Amino acid sequence: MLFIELFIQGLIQGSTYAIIAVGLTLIYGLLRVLHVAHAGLFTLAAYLGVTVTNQFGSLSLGIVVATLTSGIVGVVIYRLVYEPILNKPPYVALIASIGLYIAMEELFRLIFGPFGLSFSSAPLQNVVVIFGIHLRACQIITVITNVVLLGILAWIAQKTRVGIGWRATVDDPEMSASFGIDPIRVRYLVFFVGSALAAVAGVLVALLTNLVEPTMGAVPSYKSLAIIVLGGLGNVFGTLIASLALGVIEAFGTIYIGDFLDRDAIAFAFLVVVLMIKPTGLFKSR
Amino acid sequence: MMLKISNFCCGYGNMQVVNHLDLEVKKGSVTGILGANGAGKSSLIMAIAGHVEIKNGSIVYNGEDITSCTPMERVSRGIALVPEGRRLFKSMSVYENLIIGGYITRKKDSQTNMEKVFDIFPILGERIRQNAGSLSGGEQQMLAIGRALMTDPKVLMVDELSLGLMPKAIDICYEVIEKLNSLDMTIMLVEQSTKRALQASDNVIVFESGNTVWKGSSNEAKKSSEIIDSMLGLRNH
Repeated sequence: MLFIELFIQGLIQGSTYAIIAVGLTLIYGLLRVLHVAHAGLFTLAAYLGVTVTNQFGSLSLGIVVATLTSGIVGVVIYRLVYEPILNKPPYVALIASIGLYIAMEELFRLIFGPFGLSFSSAPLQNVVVIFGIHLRACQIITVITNVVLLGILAWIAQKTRVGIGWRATVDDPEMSASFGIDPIRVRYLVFFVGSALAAVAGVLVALLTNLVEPTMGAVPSYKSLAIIVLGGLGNVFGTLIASLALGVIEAFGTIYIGDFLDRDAIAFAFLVVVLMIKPTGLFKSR
Repeated sequence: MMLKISNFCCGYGNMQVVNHLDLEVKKGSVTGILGANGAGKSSLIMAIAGHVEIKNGSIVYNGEDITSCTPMERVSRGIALVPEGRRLFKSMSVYENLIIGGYITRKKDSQTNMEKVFDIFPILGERIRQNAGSLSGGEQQMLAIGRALMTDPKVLMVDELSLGLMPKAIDICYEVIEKLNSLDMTIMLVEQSTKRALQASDNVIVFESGNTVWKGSSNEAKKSSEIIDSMLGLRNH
């Protein structure tokens, strides 16, 4: 039973990594930019989710406001920060992204204070027993939300004209533009969708931990960067598998080797070992 | 006149690859663009499609100056390109490649155009779910032409139709070009195979180092050894 419980806990954590990392890998696949400031949007959404929920007493409203705002801020970041430097070498965008993330972190500290922020009455904390496994309602909501969102994303990418145009732009921007697919619109769409996914993850993590802090994006950010390398840069399917694998390894590691390594150290040790064996990642880059 | 290109120069950065070209393309004609490797043939049609920088001159299409139009605007006006090397979206299926071709058309028109493409190339209908990258060279060329036809073009520009294809696939592609031309479509054909190009074209223009060295009817071109040498890159300076 412990084995199954750990496995499910790992999948819950992994699915959250997945929706953060999928947004990151979509952006990398399109622009070849490692968007470190993605973690800033994750934190922004967590703050907005908690603040709006506490103010209006509605978690749904908190999620909607956080998702839309982060999506729009993501597009603004692309327009103001990345677009002017797209023709520069890749490290220029990387430095800009790191700088932006540090600035966002300090901005959260100035606006919301250096200490954590919590839900005044944390929703969905009741324990539910499914087949003998104890889970909090927010954990069940987290995994359902993540699966549904990734399912919708896959459906859009595979079955709709917009999704097909999006994938074509990732493949060959010049040719796709010559068939009437506007690459600028695709970039806006990718930044909006990627940032909105990070936003949902931010609010869900706030629900799971009932704590939002200015630095909460740092660890998921490092892990997501490692995950997208592990999954093959730009490869959405690979990213998904790598995220779930990391979540499961973390869950088991915390129980069996948690006495001498903490949760994040286990995750990074796993990533370092795998990348030492296979530096190009487990799956092919796109 | 379908296309009127005047005092036209294009190139990449500081390098000019087509110099002061004047060319008129009649509606419903097939124009062969000939010359040795590096003569500027592909650059010319890429510039007409909007992918290479125009440095001087103008392109008038159906009476409208399109010199400053984006590639997308040119496609929507009816200028389609089958690029050298085909440049298919190889990780995507035949169906998805065709959907991209018909991106600017209405969904209903896109469906009708796709049926027309399958009538012309039945093999594409059979391979509809197959990835473009897994098709044979000939099938890939058919898909590249089919994708261009999805835009409902009035002018079809084809770069190196026969390059790397087996003779049977070349025959099929040229039959399609003839068929499209018989339906009043204007065709511009860049081709290394001079024999094929002269057979298929009404008019030819011959390039050498970005300069026009000859233009006229293909019947006249067949009679001039100087022109043939120029096409093959054998002319002495």
